[in-house]
Amino acid sequence: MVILKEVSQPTEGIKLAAENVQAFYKTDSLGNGTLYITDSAVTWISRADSKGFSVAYPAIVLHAISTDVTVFPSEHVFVMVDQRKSVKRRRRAPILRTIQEADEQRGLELAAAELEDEESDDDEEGPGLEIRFVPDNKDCLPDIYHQILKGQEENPEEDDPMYDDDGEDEEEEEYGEMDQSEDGMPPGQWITADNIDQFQGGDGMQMTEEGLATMKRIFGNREHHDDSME
Amino acid sequence: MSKRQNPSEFLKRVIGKPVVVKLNSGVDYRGILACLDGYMNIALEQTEEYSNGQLQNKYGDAFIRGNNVLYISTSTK
Repeated sequence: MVILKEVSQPTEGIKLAAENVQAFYKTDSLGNGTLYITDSAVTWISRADSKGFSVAYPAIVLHAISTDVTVFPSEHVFVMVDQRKSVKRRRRAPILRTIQEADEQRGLELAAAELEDEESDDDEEGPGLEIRFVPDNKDCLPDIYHQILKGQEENPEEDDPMYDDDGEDEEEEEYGEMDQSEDGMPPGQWITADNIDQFQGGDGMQMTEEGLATMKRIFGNREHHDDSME
Repeated sequence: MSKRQNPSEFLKRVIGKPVVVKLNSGVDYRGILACLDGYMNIALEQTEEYSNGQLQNKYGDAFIRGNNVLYISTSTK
């Protein structure tokens, strides 16, 4: 994942743009650059050559503020990336590489090679990819942390059972989008006399699989009954 | 014969109305159908619990897990 590529500077949904942020892959510095935290991804772009990387929220397993300078010499925001998810992403977005400074290139190839090795162990529990962001101004750390947190909350995994717990603050907003949902009605949403009209889509009320089975069980006979009456 | 209803039309008609919910166990719950969710879980208000036709209990609000429900019917009361 940490193969630096041409990354266009995000223009939309920017929650935070922090300049003078050094990115590290494990302990190797990728240089100084700008960190963008947007609605869809965390993107870092090197100041030297405008190359960088972008991690979508579903691939971020964990992020934290690290203040233990015995582990790493600077206080930083630590981000653990799930490579399997980021690999999928990479297939969608082909990487464009161009010639760049020799020494930097060498470092990156090293990182890339290491990464490929890790990927080949896919059957085992894939090791997370460790990225560290070290801002020059360490007062930014809490803000970086919180903006990533917000991005995480806004990009829940669709099949994540933790989804309900995570989204409490966003409930109102998510309910608003629910009309367009094609995945059935999420558990926890109540149908009342006030909102039942919203759930009269094409083939009737949107239910979970379990709800549909129950509904079929309850109403199955009834429909037969009605058929026979006609 | 009236037009055949699909389940959601039926639910639309009975929501907010008095209903009888019979469980697989045979116990009846009579109350106002306040709301239901994607699991066909049901919340009743002003609920009366009947077992063998005898009033057993009264509940302000009752939540009934959908997979226990045998049927929902409109109540004439």
